[in-house]
Amino acid sequence: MSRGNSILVLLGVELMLNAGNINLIAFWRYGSAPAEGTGVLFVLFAIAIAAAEAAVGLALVIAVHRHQRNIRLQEANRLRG
Amino acid sequence: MSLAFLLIAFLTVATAAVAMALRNLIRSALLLVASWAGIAAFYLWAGAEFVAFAQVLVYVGAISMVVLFAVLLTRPSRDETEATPASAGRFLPALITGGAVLGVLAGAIVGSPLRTSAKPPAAFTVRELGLQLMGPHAAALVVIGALLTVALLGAIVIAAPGRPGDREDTR
Repeated sequence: MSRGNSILVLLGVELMLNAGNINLIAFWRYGSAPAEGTGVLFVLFAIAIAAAEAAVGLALVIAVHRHQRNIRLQEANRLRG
Repeated sequence: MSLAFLLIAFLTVATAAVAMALRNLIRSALLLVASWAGIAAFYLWAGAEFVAFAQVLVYVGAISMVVLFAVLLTRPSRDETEATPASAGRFLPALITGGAVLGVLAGAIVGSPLRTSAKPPAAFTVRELGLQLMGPHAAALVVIGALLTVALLGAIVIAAPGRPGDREDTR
C-alpha cells in the first residue's frame, strides 16, 4: 500500500493469502495428524475464497477507474453522494 | 532439505519480491504468476497433489487472466505519467510491519512442536478428500459454491457499464 497503485495492492493481498496457504500446508505436513487432511481442506476453501475476493476486488478497481480515470489509490477517498 | 526444495523456495520468494518492486504493472503480474507456479511446486513437494493442481488451475489459470484483464482495461491515458514512486516515508513503516509479521511467524514456527522424523506420513489420497468433502464437509462445499456464484455475479454487476436505458426516464 505504500506504492499507491490499486491493482498492486490486490496483487499483494493475493500474495499474502498464498503465504497463509503455504503455512497451512506446511503445518499439515509436519503437524500432528496429517492423515486427517484438515490442512488440505482448509487450503482448498481458502483458494476458492481468494479467487472470489480477487474477482470482486478487480471489478471494484475497474468501476473506480471508470469514475476517476486512473488507479491511484490515494485519490479514491470520496464517497459519491 | 534438498536442493530442489531450496531452489523452488528461492525462485518463489525472489519472483514475488521483484514483482512487488517493479514499476511496470504487467511485468509485476506475470512475475507473480511465476511465484504462484512456484508455490504449486511446493505443494507437490509437500505431498498435497490435489491442492497443487487446484492452485495451478485457479491462480495461474483464472486469477492471472482476471488480473491481466483488469490491468489492460485500466491503462492510463497517454499524457498521464506513471504511478507515483515509493516515497521513503511510506516504505519504512511497510518494512517495519513486514519484519514484525516475519518475526512473529518465525517465532511461532520455531516454538511449536513439529515432527522431524524422516518417514513420510500416511498419504491423504484424493479419494479420501472427496469422501471428506461430500460427507462431513458437504455443507461447507455448498456454501462455497453459493459464495463463488454470488461473488462472481456481483463482480459482473459492479464492473458493467451503466445501462443506456436508465438515462431516458426523466419525463
